[in-house]
Amino acid sequence: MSDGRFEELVNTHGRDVLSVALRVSGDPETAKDVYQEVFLAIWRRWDSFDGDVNWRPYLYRATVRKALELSRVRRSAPASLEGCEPEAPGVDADAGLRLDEIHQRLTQSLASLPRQQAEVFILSRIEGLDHGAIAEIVGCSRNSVRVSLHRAVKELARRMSEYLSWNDR
Amino acid sequence: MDKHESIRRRLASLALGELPEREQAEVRAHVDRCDPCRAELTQIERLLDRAGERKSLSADESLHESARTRLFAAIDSENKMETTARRHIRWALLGRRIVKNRMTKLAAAVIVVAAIVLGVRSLDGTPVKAVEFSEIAKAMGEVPWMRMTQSGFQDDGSLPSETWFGFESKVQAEKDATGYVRFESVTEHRRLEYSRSSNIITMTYLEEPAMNLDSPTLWLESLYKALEERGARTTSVRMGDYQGRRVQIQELSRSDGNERESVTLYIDPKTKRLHAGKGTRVDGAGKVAMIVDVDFDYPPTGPGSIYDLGVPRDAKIVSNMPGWNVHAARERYRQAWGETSRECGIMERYWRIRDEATREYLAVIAHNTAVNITDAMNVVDVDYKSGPRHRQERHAVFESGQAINDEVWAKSKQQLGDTFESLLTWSRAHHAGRGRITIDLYDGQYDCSVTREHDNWGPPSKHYHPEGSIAPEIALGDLAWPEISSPARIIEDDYAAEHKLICFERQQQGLLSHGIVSPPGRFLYYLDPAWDYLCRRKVTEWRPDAPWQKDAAWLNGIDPTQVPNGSITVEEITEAFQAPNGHWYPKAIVERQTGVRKDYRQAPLGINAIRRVYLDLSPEFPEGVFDANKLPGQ
Repeated sequence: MSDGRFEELVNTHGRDVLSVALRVSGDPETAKDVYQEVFLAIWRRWDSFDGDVNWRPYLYRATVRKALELSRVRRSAPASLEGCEPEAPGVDADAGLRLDEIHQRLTQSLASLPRQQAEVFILSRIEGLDHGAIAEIVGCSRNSVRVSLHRAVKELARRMSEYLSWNDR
Repeated sequence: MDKHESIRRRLASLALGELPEREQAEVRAHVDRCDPCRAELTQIERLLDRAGERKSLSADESLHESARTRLFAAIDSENKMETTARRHIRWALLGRRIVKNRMTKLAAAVIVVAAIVLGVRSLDGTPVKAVEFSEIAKAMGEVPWMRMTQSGFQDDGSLPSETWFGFESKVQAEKDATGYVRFESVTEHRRLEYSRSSNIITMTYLEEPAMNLDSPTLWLESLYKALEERGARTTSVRMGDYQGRRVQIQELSRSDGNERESVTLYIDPKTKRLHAGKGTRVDGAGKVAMIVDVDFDYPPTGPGSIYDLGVPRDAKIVSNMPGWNVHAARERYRQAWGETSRECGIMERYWRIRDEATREYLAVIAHNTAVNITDAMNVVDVDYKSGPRHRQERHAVFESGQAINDEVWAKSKQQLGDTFESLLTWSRAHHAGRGRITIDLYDGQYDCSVTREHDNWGPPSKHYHPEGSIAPEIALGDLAWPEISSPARIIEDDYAAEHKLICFERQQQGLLSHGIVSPPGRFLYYLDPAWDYLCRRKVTEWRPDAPWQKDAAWLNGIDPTQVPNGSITVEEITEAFQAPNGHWYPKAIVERQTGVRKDYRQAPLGINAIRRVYLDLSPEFPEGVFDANKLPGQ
């Protein structure tokens, strides 16, 4: 395939890749690194992709995985979300800091879940996909999606119980 | 399963909006009255709310433009390094175009080979021949260590980020992005696996390594063979640059109706070793199944232990090595219940007594199991033990297929007798005669096993088990003091109270792995302090629909016929005696069993086996009885 078609791939899917990376990692710099690594990996073997390739499922999975991988390594607090949707108005500063910490904890907890559970949870609860779409992307049955999601929910609720109780203080 | 537990298991479904209306009302009604369930539901709902907050995040145009600019700058930078090398592509492409226009495969192959061998030129115009596999294999065969650093994506599993092969030290190790680390030593027959989430290193016995570490050549051979078997062929060879190094680039690819695959190998033309590789696979539906980059290097040294791969020194070690490992069991109990717990105290006594009481003996164990005449013996075990060395001979009384009636049994009964001496004499005569015998022998290092059917001995098998024997199954120690190595908890129950016993309960979760069902298990061990902590009663319960199974969804998706039936087995020492050494030993053990129906009703327990134990606690062992070189069949 020609360089022009690679550029077309980046233009068509790039913003989605970046947005998914941002929603998973919660950090714009990490999101940009994920974007870079995902597309460079494709570019470096561009000549081997001839014919039609269904990029969407691969890009979803590769982006989610890379975002979790980089988030696992980088335990820094998220920078202000420049270039993203603003926070809801009326939120006070302390609550905002707590919210950041909760989200950071959520990212870390996701990064330490078994891979399929983390992917299914993200695709369902953060990306809003239905079980059928997730099954196609992840390459498993709908029932397996349902089981993975339940396990992920239970485990995340357990790991984050202290943070989720903050509203009660 | 009680109502509360049934509701608790549906809280996540409620929060996820999966429950039908009628069930929603039922669950909510319970939650209104139950504080723990309400708290748990609240936590789940808050988790889902927090996760849902991220849906609103999206990258705006300026962030995308910044990322895009950076991406193409990186691509330009990589392109500059490759530009001069791309002149050589003309020659390889020429070969490929000719291949497409040719009529016959043979002619096409010839042209491709000609293009590769004759048409490839280096920068200065001198012809470059492809580095042959045999040359690569020879070059790599001399390295002490090889390290592969991998990145990318693979549809069907996690990709290790780093893999080490030690060809002289016979070590293989890998770690991946989740923090999982594996370290295998072939010489020590040991596999160590570390999980970051639990901070535990699990140690298991390594019978055979996944990869033959005799030489990297064999690894390379299996790589090429796998590609060849899948139909991959070399399509181009050229010189180029990769990561600032001059390399030869070999491209292999294959395509069939189901998938397309390509592999690119970067070979150092001076050392003839693999420098890097890339792999891509796309399935028939156009879905990308694999994109992998691998870098190779050959350091003079490598990891000597799992800690050299970054595993923290404070990680707990849990040993699942075969055989009785009292140190590992002790550590597991300490971790589970604490050093001063009642469990730890009693288990310490239990293990000490078991070790002392079974150090040296000669036992004859007569088994009556499921024959049509209730008092007929059908197996006689002769059990020799001296320290770690152990030999058990299992003698079948009746020949395979032999009809057993009163007359046949009367004759056998006369020969067997019912004393220690008569049974031992019979077994030694049987050993010299014909009929089925299995011998399991552990000499302190090796587990050996050999079987005779009718007249013929098969060849013995031999496995290295330095940590202890994994056979035989039913020996004196197992009947009197069965292993309770996984931490069991002391519970109070009516049977224990009535008989003044100490009951240890262990529960096991059901597991579905690779389509094979291991049902949930529950094990009760009733120890008698008055009988030297003999395990007077042991109950084994298997229930697919167990109330103690925490994960309600564990069997989802499995064919119901794959699920084994439940059962309850009760083994009871009905007679015991105290030996001159002060220890109590079993004389008679009765095993009863029944199946368990799904409605929890069960038939009465029926007798499955009766065992009688005869003991010599100051034995004189026959010469060579523990010598693996003296086993028959060699």
